[in-house]
Amino acid sequence: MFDKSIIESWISEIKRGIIELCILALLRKREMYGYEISKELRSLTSDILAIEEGTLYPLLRRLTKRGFLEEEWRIVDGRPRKYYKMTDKGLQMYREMKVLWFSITDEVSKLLRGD
Amino acid sequence: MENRRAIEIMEDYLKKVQENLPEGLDGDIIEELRSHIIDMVNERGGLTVENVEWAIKRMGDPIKLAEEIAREEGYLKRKRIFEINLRWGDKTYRWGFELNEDIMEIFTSILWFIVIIVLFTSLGSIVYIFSTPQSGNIVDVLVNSVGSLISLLVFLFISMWLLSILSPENKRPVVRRIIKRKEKILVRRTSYVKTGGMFFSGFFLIIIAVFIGWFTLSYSSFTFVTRIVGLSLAIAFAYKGSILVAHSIYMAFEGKESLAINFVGSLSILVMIPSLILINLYPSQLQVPIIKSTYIEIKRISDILKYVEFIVIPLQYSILIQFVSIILIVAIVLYIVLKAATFTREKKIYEYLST
Repeated sequence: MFDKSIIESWISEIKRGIIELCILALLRKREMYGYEISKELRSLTSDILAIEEGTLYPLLRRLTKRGFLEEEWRIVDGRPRKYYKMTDKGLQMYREMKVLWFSITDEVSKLLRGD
Repeated sequence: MENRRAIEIMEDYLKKVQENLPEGLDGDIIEELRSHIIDMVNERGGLTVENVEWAIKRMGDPIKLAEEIAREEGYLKRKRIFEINLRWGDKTYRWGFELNEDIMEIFTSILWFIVIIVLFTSLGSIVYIFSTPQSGNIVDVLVNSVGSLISLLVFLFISMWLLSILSPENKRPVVRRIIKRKEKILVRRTSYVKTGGMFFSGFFLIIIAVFIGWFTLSYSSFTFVTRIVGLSLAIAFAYKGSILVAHSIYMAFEGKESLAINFVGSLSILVMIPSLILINLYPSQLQVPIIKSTYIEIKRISDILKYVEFIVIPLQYSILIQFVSIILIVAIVLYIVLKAATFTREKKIYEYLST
């Protein structure tokens, strides 16, 4: 019998690390606004990587502050919307994170396969 | 009707987020959050109360959201220790005291330390009284212990709170000077800490003023000059305290500081000028407190007065007193002139930047 809250906490910690990579992966394809990013994450990952709206914006601000994303306000259908675009630095970071991700998952998979 | 109510719910939520963001940070984040909520609501079928409530539930607790955003910007999270909520009609006004999260641990440790020290010294006194019944009164010990504890806690809290609000992490990021100036003048946002601090500072100043006034009038051995000085001090404190209380109420209602009230509050020091002139004309009439005994035994607070005596300034110090009083009058006048100039300049900048 395991404590569900421990599992949930573990999942939450894993997601926290992965979501940044996923956001960069989405913005690698094209620029998006906040709600679009949240929707794409939900639909492309079958809700597994669904992110709380309240978590998304602090993450986007963090990535922007670090220079990985650029933001731009535009008026769309008469409403202001902030679009996010990946920078060159962000692209470099994304490539490094992607390589690291595959090597980490490979090693963990090897370990789990041996069990 | 439904649309208006839905918009109200959304704006209330955004207002709560905004209120909990540090100064200067709430600019486009609120606009972005508004856009996000509208997108969510539109996808669900339009601007209805049900859809907005669903959307803001998905957004999460507004205070936590504001804290997370502030944390990403490098601001420390604050823990609210003490809050007063006043409901007036359909609005709620809040004043609160908060401490930075890095100070909380120190605060808690010192708090426990103070409680334990006061507890042990009180117990020690009570045990002593039981063993030597003529030595004192248990009720006095308890009253003094509670009084000491409250005073120490108030001092601790005020100093920790000052550390919190003065810490560099609470300052806005460095921006161009004109924007910083604009933010300072145009968007003088208030925080609960500032509003609460002003209210309680004003309240305490009024209490001190009442005490000084009562003491000045009731102590029979005061000269005319000393009484005028004492009453002037009491009036100055009462004036400043009232202005602080009024300003905090203004800030709670308007959400920003008032240049005019700030300036009017700084005029409290003018009350001291007549008494300084009197001191200059009759320096030998001014009295000062001295401790008249080398041996002091204090069992009650009122015992302190037995050992304090007010004596007139010796004649040989008259010239010094006159000189100091002139310096103080000049300093006060210069201070008021500087304050008036600052107020006028800030008002001009405000008017210029508002257009």
